[in-house]
Order: sequence, then C-alpha cells, then structure tokens
Amino acid sequence: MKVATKKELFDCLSGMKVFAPVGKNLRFAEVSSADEIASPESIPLSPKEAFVPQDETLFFYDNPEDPTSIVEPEIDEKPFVVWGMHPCDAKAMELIGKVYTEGSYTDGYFVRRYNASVKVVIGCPVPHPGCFCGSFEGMGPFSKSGSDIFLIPLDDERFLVEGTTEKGENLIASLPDATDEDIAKGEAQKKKGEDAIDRSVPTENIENSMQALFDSEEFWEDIYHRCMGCGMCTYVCPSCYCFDIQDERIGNKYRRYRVWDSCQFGLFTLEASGHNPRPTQKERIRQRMMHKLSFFKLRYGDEHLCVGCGRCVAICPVGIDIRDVAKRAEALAK
Amino acid sequence: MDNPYKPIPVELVDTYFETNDRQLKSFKFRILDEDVKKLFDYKPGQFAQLSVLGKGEAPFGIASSPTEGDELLFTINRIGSVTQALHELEAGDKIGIRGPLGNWYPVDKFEGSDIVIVGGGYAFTTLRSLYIYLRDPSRRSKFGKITIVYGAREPGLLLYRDDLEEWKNDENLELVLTIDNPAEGWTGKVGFVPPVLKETAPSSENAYAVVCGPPVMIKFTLPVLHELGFSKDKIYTSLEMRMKCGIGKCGRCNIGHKYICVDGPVFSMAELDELTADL
Repeated sequence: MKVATKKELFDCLSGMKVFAPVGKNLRFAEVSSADEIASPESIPLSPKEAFVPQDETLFFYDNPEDPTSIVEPEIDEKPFVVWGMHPCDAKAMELIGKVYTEGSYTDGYFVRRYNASVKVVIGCPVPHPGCFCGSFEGMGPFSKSGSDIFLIPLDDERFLVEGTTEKGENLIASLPDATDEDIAKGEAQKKKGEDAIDRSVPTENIENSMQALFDSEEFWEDIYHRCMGCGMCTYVCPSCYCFDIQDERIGNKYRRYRVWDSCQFGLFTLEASGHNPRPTQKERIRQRMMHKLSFFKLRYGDEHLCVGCGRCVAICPVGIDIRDVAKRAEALAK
Repeated sequence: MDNPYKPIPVELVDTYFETNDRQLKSFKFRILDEDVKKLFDYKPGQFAQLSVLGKGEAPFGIASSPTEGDELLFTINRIGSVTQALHELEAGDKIGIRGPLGNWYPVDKFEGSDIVIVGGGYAFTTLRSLYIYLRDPSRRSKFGKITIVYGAREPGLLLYRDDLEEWKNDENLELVLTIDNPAEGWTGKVGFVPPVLKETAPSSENAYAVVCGPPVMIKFTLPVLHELGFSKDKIYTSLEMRMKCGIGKCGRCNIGHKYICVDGPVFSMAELDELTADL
C-alpha cells in the first residue's frame, strides 16, 4: 500500500494522457496538471465517454460507389489514464466489456481502448444520497473490480494508493509506502462509506420478479404516464451502451459512424414499414427497466446492468426512480 | 483484428422486378474477393446487412440457397431510404455486405421428418432458400414429404414464380398456392393462408412446420397448426426487427433477453413462449 498527494500520483502517470472530471460540469476531459482535477463526491456525467465515445467513426470512404475505398480509422493504442472513476463506473465498463466481447464478434474499437486504459478509481467515504451500489452483490463504495489503481481519500491532500493490477502496481512503484497510521485511517474511511451506502434495494431475485410483471398494466401505469421520453437517464448511465449507426458526408469524404442512442426514443425501434414494436413510452420505459434489472442478468449470467450510481435518479425531470421500481416489483412479486 | 462492422465489396450481377406492382426487386450479388467468397458460408434462414455507402445499411434475409452457387439473392421491398437506394442500383454497381448473420432453420433436426412450409406475401425469401436447400439432389432423400402452402393477395404478388413453376414437377412435394380473391386465369386456390392450410391438412406425425409471413397471417396460422397436431417445439418462425449492428452489440433488436440478430432470427414457438416480448 502506497500513499500520495494528487500531484505525486499525477507525476507517476507522466507521459500519458489523463482524463479526469474538470470544470463546472465535471465532465471527464483531458487535463495537463493535477490542479485541474476536481474531486467531487459525485459526478453527474459518467466516464463512459473515455471508453465509448459518444460519436465514433467506424470507417471512412472516399467514394460511396466504391466499397473498396473503405479505410478504418487509426485507434490510438497508447496507454491513457481515466482518473476519478468511482467503483460503480469501473464496474459499468466491465459490464459494457461483456457485451463487446461476447459471442462470435469482438468489438475491436472498445477492446483496444479498454486495454490501453489505466483506470484510477476512487472509493467513496461519503456516498451521494442517490447511490445504492451496495445493494448489488459483490459491489460497494470500495469495490476494486475493474480498477488498475485504487485510491482511498485520507484527507483533503492525500490518498492511500493501491495497485490492483500489474499495470497499476508498476506505475505507482516509486511512491512511498503508507504508514500503519495511514492504513488505519484508510480503513476508517472505508467503514464510513460501507456503513452509509444504501443496501435496501432488492436485487438478488429481481430479474424474475420483473419478468413476472412484464404484462402488468398496474405496475407500469404509474411509471410510464410520467415519463417524457427525454432519454437523459440513458445518457448519464455509465452502463447504457446502445448505439445507432449512420453514414454522413464531410466535405469530399464520407464516413460511417456510431453514436449513442436511447431506447427511450420512438425512432429506436421504428421500422421502415411504419410498424413500431414499442409504440408508446410504456414499452420504452419498460424496456429500460427490464434491460437493467432483468434481461442483462438473464443473458450474461451473474450481474445486472445497473451499478447503483444513482445518476438517473438524480437527473430524471419527473422523478422516476429505479430504486422504487425494484422495491415495488419485489413487493408485488411476494 | 477482424472488424465485424466493415462491409465486404460485392458487385450487382443482375436485378429485376419480382412483383407486378414493381414494389419488390430481386438482386443477385457476387462477392468480388475470391478468398472472402469462400468464407461466406451460409445456411437457409440466415441474413446479411447490405450497405449502400452514403445511405446506410439494412438487414435482409438471404433468398438464395448455398447449393445454387456463388451468387447471393435478395428480394427487397422499396420502403425506406436504403431500400430506395438499392432499387436504383444497376448491374455492375458495387455495394457492401456483412454476413452471413444470425442462426438458420434447423435443417439437421429436420432430417427424417416431413416438413410443412407456410409462407405469406413478401416473407417467402428465406423459405425459398430453405426449400431449394432441401430439394438439392444430395440431400432430398433425407427428408420425408414436403408441403408448401404459399399465399399472396394476387398472382402477380407471388415471389419467385419461375421457381414455383419448376417445383410443380418435384416428387414428394405438395405445392399449394393461394390468392386472396379470384383472378382470371388463376388455377390455384382462392382464400387466406390459414383456411387453405387447414384444408390441405398436412400430417403432423413426425413433422416440422416453418411459418413466415405478416403478423396477422402468423396469428391465424398458429391455431391451425395446433389443431393439426403440431406442438410448439415443432413450429419454427423467423422474426424481424429494426437492426443496426447485426452482431448483438447495439442493443436494438431484443425480444426479452434474446437478440434477434444473434440468437435468431429463427426461433421455435416454444422458445418464443419463454420470452417477454414486444413484437
């Protein structure tokens, strides 16, 4: 276990691009010094963009009539740092990774970027009021899953620093070792967060409870009448990964690119014939809740597609709360 | 690393109107690269993404059978921007293709059984592929009696009329064609597919059924099949939904926890029964 100030840790990472929460919006952006990095308790936007850019070119072509003119973009495979992710975010990137590497098809764009990343994850001694990561098995405000370097804030200045992968360990090797006093303080910080985190959201069997309620008018009634279909929940969500693919012309060049999309939009499933299998907000909000709390686990095994970061709860303009959805589902299923 | 989003170039060899209303055109494509051609190994029921660069991409069932040689056949309804662009293509034009994608009709499971193929309207593309695959001389003896019940609104809207004409001479095939209303010169059945299927009454003994068609046809065909004794695990269908990636990543075409693009498009009715689905 090591100990460092923000600046000392930043120096260990020299030579690599560092993305961290900055500015008023706390968006993850490239920084050139440790002073620029904000250390907020919660970050309204997730670091997903560093791994899955909102807009990503799949390939360029000069001539639409000549498919042999397709050229793939170069992906920078130089190591880069994403600093200040929370444990929920690191878990979310692992979940997206499951999708992008499952089955016969591997998404090289994501995989190359994910493998090049150094994930500096900060534990949460003071979870945000909407957070409920502790409600998911194996997760919590100090879960190290998906990190390369794990930080525990000791005070305003210093962090306890742990290399959680070989890559992370090598980078922080030059830092001074933590004293017993530091380690004890770290443990106290951890306990503070673990004690505070909301573990009351039922998640263990929720995939089956949700399945049973799929056709329940009563259950979805309250939720969907309020939903305006703005899609904000999907944009702030660290684990929402759905995308659209489009072609466009830029000057004399063309490209095909993918762009974040949202299951909350009517166009998401609108077919050319005019048929839409999800014609109203009822089917759309149901799709999101089912994907988060049921479909993903049924498909990929042990984990849900929700990490309990609370961002969708905080941003929803009409107060739709996934925690309540889970609690109501569990109560009705009993 | 292979890029599953990158289409491979194909050349349009031939294109012609398939229906008299000139809404549907058939397209025969040839893969340009000889090495890539060998890798395009498909079975009946699979689909591919056709790319008109600058316009976009859309998924279509492969209407040819791998037993027919190298040319890939697609039959496409002109209805959106990509299909409009496809309809404007001329022989010699080049576009992109990604595939083959998805699963296929369980032809191995069909061995030793009778097969009932029920199709309606435009949804006969992969059924054509299926029957041509099954009737291949190298394979035909492995299957029992085959019954095809295929209907369209009017004679001119039946797809693959030359093939249907040729199949009329096939042994061990009962080919029943039907149209919605009487028409001059029509010698087949008149009526919707479900009652015509009921009247045809193929045996469900040691038999599988494959059904593709508009939702309303499927809805009324399933009870007829049940009445004839087909259980849900013996009835297969092929689903469609809006798709983008076609490889299980973009999150669009799910029914319950399955993706039509990688877990389908072919499902048994028993499999569909287990899913919570928006269809």
